[in-house]
Amino acid sequence: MTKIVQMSDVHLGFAYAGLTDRHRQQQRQQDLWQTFLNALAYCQKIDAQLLLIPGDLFDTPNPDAALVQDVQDAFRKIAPIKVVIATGNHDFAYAGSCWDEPQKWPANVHLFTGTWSKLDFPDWQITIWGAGFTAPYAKISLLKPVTPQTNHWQIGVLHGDAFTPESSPYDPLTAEQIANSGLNWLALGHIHKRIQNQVGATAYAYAGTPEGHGFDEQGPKGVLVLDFIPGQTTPTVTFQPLAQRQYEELSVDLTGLNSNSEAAAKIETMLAEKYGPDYQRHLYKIHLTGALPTTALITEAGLTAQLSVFDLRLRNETHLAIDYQQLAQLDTLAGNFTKKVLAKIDQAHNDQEKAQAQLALDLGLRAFQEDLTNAH
Amino acid sequence: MRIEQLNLIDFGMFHQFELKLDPSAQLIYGDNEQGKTTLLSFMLLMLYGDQGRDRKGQLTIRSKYQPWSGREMAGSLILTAKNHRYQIEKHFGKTFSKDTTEIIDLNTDEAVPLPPKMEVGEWLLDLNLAGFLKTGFIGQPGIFNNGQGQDDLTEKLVKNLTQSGDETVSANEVLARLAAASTDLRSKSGNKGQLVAAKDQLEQLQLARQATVARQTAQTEQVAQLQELSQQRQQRDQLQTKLQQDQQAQQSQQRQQLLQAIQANEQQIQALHALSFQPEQVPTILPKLQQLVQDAVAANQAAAVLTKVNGQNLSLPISEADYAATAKLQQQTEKIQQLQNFFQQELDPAAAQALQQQAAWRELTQQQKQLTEQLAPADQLRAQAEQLTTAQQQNLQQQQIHQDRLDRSQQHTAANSRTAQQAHKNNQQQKLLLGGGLLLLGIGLILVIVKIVFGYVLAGGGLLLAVISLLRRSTPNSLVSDADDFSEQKAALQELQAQALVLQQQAADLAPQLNQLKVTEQQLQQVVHQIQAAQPRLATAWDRWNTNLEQWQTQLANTDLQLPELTLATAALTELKNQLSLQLANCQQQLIQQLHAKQVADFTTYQVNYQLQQKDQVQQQQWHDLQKRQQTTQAALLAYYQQLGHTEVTNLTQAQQELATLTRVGQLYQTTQATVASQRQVTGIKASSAELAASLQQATTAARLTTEQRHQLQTQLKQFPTDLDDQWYQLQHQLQGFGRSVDEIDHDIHDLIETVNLLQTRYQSLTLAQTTLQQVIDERRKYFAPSLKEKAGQYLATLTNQRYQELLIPKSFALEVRDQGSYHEADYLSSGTADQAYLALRLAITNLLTNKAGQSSLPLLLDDILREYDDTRAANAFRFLKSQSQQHQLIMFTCHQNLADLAAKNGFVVRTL
Ligand SMILES: [Mn+2]
Repeated sequence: MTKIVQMSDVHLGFAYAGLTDRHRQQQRQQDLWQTFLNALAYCQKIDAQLLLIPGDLFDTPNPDAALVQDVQDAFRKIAPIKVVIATGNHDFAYAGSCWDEPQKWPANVHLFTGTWSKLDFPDWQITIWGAGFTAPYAKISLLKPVTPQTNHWQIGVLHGDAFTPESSPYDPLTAEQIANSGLNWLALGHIHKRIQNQVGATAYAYAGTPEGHGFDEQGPKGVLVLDFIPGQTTPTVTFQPLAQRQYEELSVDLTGLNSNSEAAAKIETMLAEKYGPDYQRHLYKIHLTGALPTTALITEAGLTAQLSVFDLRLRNETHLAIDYQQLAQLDTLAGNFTKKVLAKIDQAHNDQEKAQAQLALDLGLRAFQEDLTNAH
Repeated sequence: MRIEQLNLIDFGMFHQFELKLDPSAQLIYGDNEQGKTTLLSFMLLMLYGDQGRDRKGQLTIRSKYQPWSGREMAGSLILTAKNHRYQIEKHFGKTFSKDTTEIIDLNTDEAVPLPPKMEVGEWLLDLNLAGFLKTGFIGQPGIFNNGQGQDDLTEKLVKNLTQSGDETVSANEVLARLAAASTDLRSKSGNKGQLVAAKDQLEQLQLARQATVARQTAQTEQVAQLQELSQQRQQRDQLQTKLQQDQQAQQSQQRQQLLQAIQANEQQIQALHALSFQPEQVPTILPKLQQLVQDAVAANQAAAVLTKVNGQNLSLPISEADYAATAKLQQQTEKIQQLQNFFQQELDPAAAQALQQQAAWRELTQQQKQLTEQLAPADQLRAQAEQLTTAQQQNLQQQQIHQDRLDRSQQHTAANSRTAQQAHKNNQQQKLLLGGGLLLLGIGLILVIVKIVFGYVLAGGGLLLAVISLLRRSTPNSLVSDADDFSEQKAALQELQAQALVLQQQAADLAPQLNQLKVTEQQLQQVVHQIQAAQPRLATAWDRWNTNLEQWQTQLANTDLQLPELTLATAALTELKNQLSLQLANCQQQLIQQLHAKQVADFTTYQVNYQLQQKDQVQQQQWHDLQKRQQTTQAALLAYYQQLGHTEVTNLTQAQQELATLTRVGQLYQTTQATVASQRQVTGIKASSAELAASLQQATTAARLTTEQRHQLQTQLKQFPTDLDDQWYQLQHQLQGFGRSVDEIDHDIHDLIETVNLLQTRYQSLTLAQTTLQQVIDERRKYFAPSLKEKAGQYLATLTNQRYQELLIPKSFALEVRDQGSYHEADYLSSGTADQAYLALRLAITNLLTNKAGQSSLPLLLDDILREYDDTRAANAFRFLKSQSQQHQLIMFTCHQNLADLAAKNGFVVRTL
């Protein structure tokens, strides 16, 4: 049985510029590097024979020389595990690029930096096929069909777009093409989400990025472990989570709560339930919903201060717990105001206008209670 | 609300001071400093607490009215409000937060909790402090505000008209809050704000995205271009490398050569040092030493010639002729030596052998002679026997002939018989010859012994004869005879056979004698045999002797012992002389028997001696001269060496060796020095040998290019653009200025759009809230404005006894009063009238604001508001105010006695402090 690890779209050197806090940026950069190292250590731990990296190992085509060297050293250390890399649209190979100096890459690293070619591992009855990006775009598919062999695994390593092949300039791969590839397994990179599929006799998967880069890459992230068991035509695939932190988005109903501490407690309970006792290490986008009492003193700033998680983005979608109809009956300034805005909600042409008027009502009534700038 | 009782437990000057109040209208009179302001402040503090410092930063009520007793500030009120009777007790701490309030519902006698964050006044009057100060409190400017102009006050009052009593915040404040939140998002100018910033950022991101996409498209081409340039660079670099390698090879070669030259030079310098010479001395010392050595050597050579000739210390030049003569002498000496050797090794032994052989031979001949004498008497017998034998033989022969004829087979018998006969005959002849030869030999030998030449000849002749006789004896004769007729033969044969019997009888008679004779003959025969054997040996020995003798004599005769004339006597001859004399002595000894030779030798010796003596003298003189010269030159040479510090040189050989070494080394030094200098000049290499060695160790030697190849390469190189590297680096730089990826920008754009939308919605909602609220405010103002005008006009008419009936509040908020058809600004009027106008307005506002259903009536705290009024006006005012006491509890303070009287006349309860 041959064990292979597939790790895609690491994007080493990614800056995490989306995080405004510099320290958190640095921490995430460290996280990314740590996950990369952990993945290599994991390969050793499970005695993998091969590590497939189908592109975007680096975030840019001109990664920092020190980073490149660190990566080379890291690969060197896991020999005799063979590392097979195909360049992607982010780290495409060109004259003078870091891939352009094969002598600097350790002997256990094989690079696919050009057209479709192969690498034989007769001992394991495996042939690895691959191609690499040589420019930001590869508008023509890089995949070429191979001849299937019995009792021999044909494996492809490629960066490409199997989801929008009709319009993608990133090595478009049609289902037909994959089905006719003659490959048993196609290790793909480019889509950062974990996706596994099979067309014809060819199974393929995007391992997804091993460490998320933003809130559009939510949930557990890691690598795929492929067990090529004799007698089967496709490998057995296991997902191994490795990410240091996860990006998570959720809604919390704060109805009836009066203070930041109450709200914080509710959120913490919910996070611990969903993400375990180690929930504090993750990054969250939380939508605050529900009806707050008029007397409630809950502010985004106050809540943020009380919630101890690595990164937090709050979306305040709460409204005041007020009986608007009753308030509208009063001949007071607030009553008159409520009456007028309710009329506008009724007359709204669309949901957006309606939501806007609803928010105007909420903000207006809030303004009778407190300074709005503090709350924001 | 009606306040029943004030209880100042500890407040300012008061301690346990109690004051009961009329629920309707009263005037509290007291002189200045009697505490009326203190009472006013107490009521405000009890209702609204301490609101901190005033706007001027002056002392707060709390600090201003700290009890003089030093106790904790405290007080209580009893009042009715909302159909309940309450006792309110407050204890004031150092700060607002330390204050405690206790409310007891006196109807139920239960404590009533005050809602959080609420003051008593707010709870019971539905008015906050600001609202109360603008309504329930009418006072002299300066206590609770900064005494701004009346217009400002009016503005505030009027604006508050739009505020219903149940709002704890002014509409203005709400608007301001909305506006502030809005401004946070987008400033009035539209340049600042979160929304503006976010939009700007979004725009920039979108631009950045466009640029990145454009750049990525361009990069595809750049990458291809880069590939092309890379190939060109590679080709160019290969050419350059080839040329460089060539150049390096050249340099390497030059350096190698230079290094070798330097090393060679250094070696010579070291060698010079080892010889204790300074390299720089070489040019001066070397020629001088060479000269000195040359001189010494010349002198030495001259002496050396003599040394060579005589093999000793002597040395003398010798001419070719002299040498030839000497050589001849040596030849002759050798010849004599040869002669001597010949004599010793050949001649003498040959003679000895010859003599030995002769002695042996002589003995044998003696025996022969005796035997021969014994045989002499037997001659007759022998003759008879011979005759008989002959007869028998003849008989036998005839028988045989007949027999042969009869039987052919009997021929051999006959032949044999003849052969034996012939042999006998031959034997006889030989004996004669041998006897003669031997005789001659004997005589010859005797002669030889006495050294007469003729003896040899004679002996030779005898020997020859003897030899011939011996040879004849060995020569066989054979004859063959034939037989006759057969028939006759048989008869004859019988006769012959008979005859043979007779003969046989006779022979038998003779046989014993003959036998004796035969024995003797046999003895003789043996001796003869021995002689025959000795004869060749003797002959050989004699031959050898003779031959050697002849040779020696010939050689001796041919040896020209006449010495050649020597032109120069040579000292070398001394030895030769000795040798020669020795040889001659030997020769003499050998030739002692040869007088002639001895004489020759003597002569030769004499002659040689003489000549040698002559030469020796000349030679001695020359040798002395040469030695002297040799010493002088050598001394000069050694002195110079001494001068140079080379004391170890003590003789010419050393000097020569030293010079040879120095010359060799010095010349090599100079040559190598020149080589180094010229190579350095040509190549321009200045590196030291160590540097060269180091650089050469690393350098690899490559084959040189031919000139043609080099030109070709250079031509090819020129075809590449000169800015190839610049182009490449520029392109690399462009590629490296990659910036952020589209994906990443998209992330940010995605996030930012979300933010912008949120802010945009919020901004629009805020705007909507503001406009809506403004609309509500405007509507409410519209609704209040006519009532206010009407009410204020009524009040003003009452106050002014109908003189002024209309009050106008323009947008400037400068109050205008209508007087006889025209409006006048309040300031234009007398101060009394202006005060009346404000009082009217104030009460109108208060009443409009507090006439809501269910609302508790407001106590009016009036602080000496009528002090500027004249009595008429004051009386009017009291009447008017009294009419208000239905609605409000009136608590008025004054320090004017006349006002107290007027108040009392108009139904006010007057209390004096
Ligand atoms: Mn990627």
